[in-house]
Amino acid sequence: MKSLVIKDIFMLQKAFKMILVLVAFYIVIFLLTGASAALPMVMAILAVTFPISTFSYDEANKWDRYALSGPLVREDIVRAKYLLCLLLMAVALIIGFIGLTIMNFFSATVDLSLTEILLIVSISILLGLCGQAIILPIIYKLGAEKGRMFLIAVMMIPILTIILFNRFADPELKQFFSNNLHFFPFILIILVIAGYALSYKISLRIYMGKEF
Amino acid sequence: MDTAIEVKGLSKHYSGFSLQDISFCLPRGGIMGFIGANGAGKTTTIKALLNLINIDSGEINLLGHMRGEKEVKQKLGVVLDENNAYDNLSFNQAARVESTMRADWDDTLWQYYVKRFQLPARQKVQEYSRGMKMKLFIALALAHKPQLLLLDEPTSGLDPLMREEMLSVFTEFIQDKQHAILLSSHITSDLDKIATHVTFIHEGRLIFSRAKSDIMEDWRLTCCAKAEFDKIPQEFIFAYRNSSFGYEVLVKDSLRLAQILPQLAFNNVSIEEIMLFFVHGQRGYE
Repeated sequence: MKSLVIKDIFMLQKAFKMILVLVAFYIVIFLLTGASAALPMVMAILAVTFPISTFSYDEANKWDRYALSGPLVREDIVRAKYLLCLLLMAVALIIGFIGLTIMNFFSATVDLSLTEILLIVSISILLGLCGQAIILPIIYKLGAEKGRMFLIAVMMIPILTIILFNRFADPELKQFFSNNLHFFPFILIILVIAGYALSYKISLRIYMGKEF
Repeated sequence: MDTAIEVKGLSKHYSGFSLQDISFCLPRGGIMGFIGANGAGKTTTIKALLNLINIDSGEINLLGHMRGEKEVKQKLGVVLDENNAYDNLSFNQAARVESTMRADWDDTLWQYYVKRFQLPARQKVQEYSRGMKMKLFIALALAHKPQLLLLDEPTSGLDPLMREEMLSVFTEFIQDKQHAILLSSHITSDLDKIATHVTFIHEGRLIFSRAKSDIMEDWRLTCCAKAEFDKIPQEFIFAYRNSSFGYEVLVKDSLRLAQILPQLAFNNVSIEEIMLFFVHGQRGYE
């Protein structure tokens, strides 16, 4: 299983370099404009899209057929993809946290407390994990290309929810949510753990029935 | 534990193609040439051996284990017809992934094959020619000291010198009598040289699976006129061709037939001729 994660990391090497450029670009933009603190969210979105790229490569290279001809069993393949997703999200968390802290330090317009930074980072990462949990079984069922289409839909869910909530929700309800925002990550954590476990089970079931 | 491959009654149905009741057996120490025209079901059979596809019925044992068991998968060296698995990786990265994946990876052996096959380590795998990729994957398959090699068209795309080299590698591999090779190939002259057993499938059905020495001893080609052809009992005829020059007949059990019809002259037959006679000729067994 370790070999599979290593293989995916090798495949993503070019993309990792791209991230570094992206982060540098983002920081420059931020320093010039003082834009919002969306870096952790950008990182989380990348951590959802990168594994999909590895699926595309695997499909093009007929990797699964090769790996399953070797000493690996189907559980290894699925488990390794989930592990890769978690690893990428951990990297997103680290970059998001450090980046946001640095930007916050240099910014003249934004002054976030450590709690606020942690809140922004944790919500971004947890939403990213939700995204992974939703998209992985879809990719296993439909393949990487169709999965990419669904990804856009999956990403729209939290954005639309927030927009609709802001527009239509009762002001008291809004007040209640903004007063209790710090509880949000804890609810998300429970959702993510349950969702990830369920997602893994569904993906495995789909993959076990596949032929190569 | 003397059997490397044992397939009993393997069937797999797709819409438009079925693999029907395939059975064969390869002892350790043997090289099985797995032959058949395109679309005969060779790759499907190999996929079934590797547990890459579900089967509708039948039983498959490799090295004394059920197919798909992790224990047996460690002992297999597999080269499939398309070798693109490491296209997005460098040569060294591919080796690194393999060495992590395989419990019995032997780096010295790997380096030996890299040198022997003249694999360019600085070139990206994606840039390798088809033949070069084939060599790379054969080297990868050998470097973890497998007991059973399953090779789908391993010599296609190789130049004659390299093909010869590969045949020597396979022959060396089989010197250990615990080892065995299943080798599907269109290049039947390769099988004439190294195969100990031949399994022939056509349109998803098994035509025969026998030791090559038996085939070479028993099966012969004879040319005769219609009058003589009519005298040959049906049970001896595997396949025949009828042309303006007379009949060309591929016969089974030629020694016994020679006693019955001593006037017939027999010639040796190659695996390719057997295949061609069966596919293009008229079949005697039906």
